[in-house]
Amino acid sequence: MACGKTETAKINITASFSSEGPFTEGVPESFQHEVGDAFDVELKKLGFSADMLKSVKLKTATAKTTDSLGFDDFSSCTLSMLSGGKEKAKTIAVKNPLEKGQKSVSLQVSGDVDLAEHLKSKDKFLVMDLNALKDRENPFAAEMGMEFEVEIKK
Amino acid sequence: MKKVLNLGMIFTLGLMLSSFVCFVAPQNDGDRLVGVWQTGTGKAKVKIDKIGTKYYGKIVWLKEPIDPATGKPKVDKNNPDAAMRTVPLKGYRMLKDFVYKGSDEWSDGTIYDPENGSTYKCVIKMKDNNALDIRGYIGVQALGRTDKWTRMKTSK
Repeated sequence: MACGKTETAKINITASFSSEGPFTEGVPESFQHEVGDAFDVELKKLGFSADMLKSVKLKTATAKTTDSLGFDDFSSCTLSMLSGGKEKAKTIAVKNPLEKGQKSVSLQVSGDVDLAEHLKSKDKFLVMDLNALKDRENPFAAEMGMEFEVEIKK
Repeated sequence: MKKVLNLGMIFTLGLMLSSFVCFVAPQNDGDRLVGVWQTGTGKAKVKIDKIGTKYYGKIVWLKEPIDPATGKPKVDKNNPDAAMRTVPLKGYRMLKDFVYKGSDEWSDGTIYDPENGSTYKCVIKMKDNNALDIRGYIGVQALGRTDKWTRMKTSK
């Protein structure tokens, strides 16, 4: 029985991105990550399910790489979420410009975007866009750690 | 009897296979949209990709990539969300969430105009394999504007 109460909780997930390259100077490259059930698993640990989501907001996003050059071959990093449902794709975090010599970068997150409908969808994706600063032959990989604040309908 | 059953099974399998082909074909047909397209003004090139089951287009080239006001690469300075105004225009996903409906038409998507920060409903019609009509509109399609895009031969 619905009683109209809500509860908030924090959920952390990590997304892995990789591309074989090559990367071309000045050309933006997209890295895709299928979220799958990673978010649902974390929700379940708290005793909730996706259909109980009232709102979901991204609070922090940190990109990390073990690449020897860090993010030096790229000028900017943008994170978007999209899904197979009716909800439109959303840009949710950005770091522009990327600072030199960094292997860990905190992105500025959008405070307004509600991701609940995306995260209720079965097929949901995170897309990381990196703008290549110069030509690069080698592959590149990064992980995006994200903290979400979720509001649950009880 | 056994022969009749076998023929029946073959017929059923054939029917299932043809249904499957009919179901799958439109989706593959929709992939004709994937590629790099030049906008009508020639000011930008947009790469359309498929992610999941839907189609998205991001800006991969700008005729004037530098903002004369700042001397730096253009950013989405008109975004209604102030936190997202440093998103670079190069790489910006300006076409979102298009679904192929058959008959050379992709709809249910939106187009973003970075020059004024507005998002419009949009329908894409393929005139031939190398030409698109991109119609952005508010409310009903009659109240809109059509831009003609041309397919680029390069991959990026």
